[in-house]
Amino acid sequence: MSWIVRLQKSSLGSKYIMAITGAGLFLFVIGHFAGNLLLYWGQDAMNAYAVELHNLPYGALWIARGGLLIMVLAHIFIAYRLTFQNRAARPQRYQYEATLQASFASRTMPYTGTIVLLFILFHLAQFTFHLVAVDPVQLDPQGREDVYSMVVHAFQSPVYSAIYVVSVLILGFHLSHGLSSMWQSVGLNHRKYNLAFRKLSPLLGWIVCLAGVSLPLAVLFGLIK
Amino acid sequence: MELTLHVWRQKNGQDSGKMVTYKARDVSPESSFLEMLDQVNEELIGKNDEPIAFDHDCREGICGSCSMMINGKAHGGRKGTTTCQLHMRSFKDGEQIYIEPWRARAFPVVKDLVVDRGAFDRIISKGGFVSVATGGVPDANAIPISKEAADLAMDTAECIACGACVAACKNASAMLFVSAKVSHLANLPQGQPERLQRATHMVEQMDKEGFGNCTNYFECEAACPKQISVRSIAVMNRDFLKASLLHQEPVGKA
Repeated sequence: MSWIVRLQKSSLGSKYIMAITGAGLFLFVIGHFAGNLLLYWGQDAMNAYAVELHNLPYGALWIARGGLLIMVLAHIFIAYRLTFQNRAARPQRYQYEATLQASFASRTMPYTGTIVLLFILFHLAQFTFHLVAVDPVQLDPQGREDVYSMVVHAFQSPVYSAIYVVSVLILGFHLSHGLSSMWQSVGLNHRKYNLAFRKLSPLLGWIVCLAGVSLPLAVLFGLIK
Repeated sequence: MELTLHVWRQKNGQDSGKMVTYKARDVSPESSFLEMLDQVNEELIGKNDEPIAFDHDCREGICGSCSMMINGKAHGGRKGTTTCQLHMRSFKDGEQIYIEPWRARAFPVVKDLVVDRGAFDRIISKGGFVSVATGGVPDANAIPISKEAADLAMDTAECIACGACVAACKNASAMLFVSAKVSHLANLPQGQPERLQRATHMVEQMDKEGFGNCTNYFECEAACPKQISVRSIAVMNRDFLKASLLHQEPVGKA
């Protein structure tokens, strides 16, 4: 086991963990947003989906949640450790700072990542733990938890909608570097595939995030009631 | 040309150092950046002042000695150019130029613009070589190497270990340098026997020296005077991963 401890501590081992957990978390975002798009199919579809998710066999929901939590914690822990190491590697900054080709997204990963983390905490507090900014749980006509109305009602507030739109756009920005960078981190860089690695991956990230952003906007503009 | 220089002056490793402003007068646009500094130094010596210390040797872009940040860009930021190959015609008359040493914890300042790049030597000594048995001269073409492999190896063998990649990297990471050596030897048959242990040992030493980590900014690639591609970093990432997952020490018979 000692080799695993050594690997996660090394500079390259940390990169592998960032890339793999980042990819895993992106897959979750795809699934999560795909499920949420059921909002467009109405109250019955959304609430039935919520019930089915809770009734998945073999405790699959809890296994997925456990895996997700491990990936999130690893991604955050390694990210902050890397950031502190990187700061320490240059104790004295340049008086004249210039950038040749590093993208704005790549240079702001610790900040966009922190914003996304704060957003996730708010999101969980609101829709999962019902602690802030949400009505008490209601039941729909079939006696199921009315997830649909809870979400629609929250998004009818321009303030909450704005928080979601801005946060998910920042997530898209975070992914625009992460999704192109993760291939390089695990050693995948090849002229034949770099179009997919560097352009199509971030494009997929933007498509997923824009689909997510469309939900609060659709509610706000009355497409979903 | 007349230029205003803001130069980092620092007596030694203990001194805190500061930027000092100098005028460079009657600079020929045909002179190199180092010749311009020579000219300023002549004037300083004439005034009994301490000349600006900077590293230089071949002055033709192959030794990797000259190392300075010019307006925040390693070697001045001109594509595929070292400081000694940078000419004053790249600047405008009356321009303000900021000149600073490479900044990295692993590259302590020795004096003014001179930094100690011994960390690179220590990384090379951990695996940037091939072990060959000495003896008779081998046949020149005994080991076949494809033209493609030779070219790929040469692309990274061009590294002159100047440290611009570290200086340009926002994280002061040495990945491009280390990977250039790993990738150079990984492309050649002679490099295969020690391939995985080379990647492991060089990366371990790189981490020990206190360089930063790679965030895939790719600033290094743009700053490299030999235009070494970040593809070599991917090769290193691959070799280190393979070594970490699969390498095992010989443990003897069951």
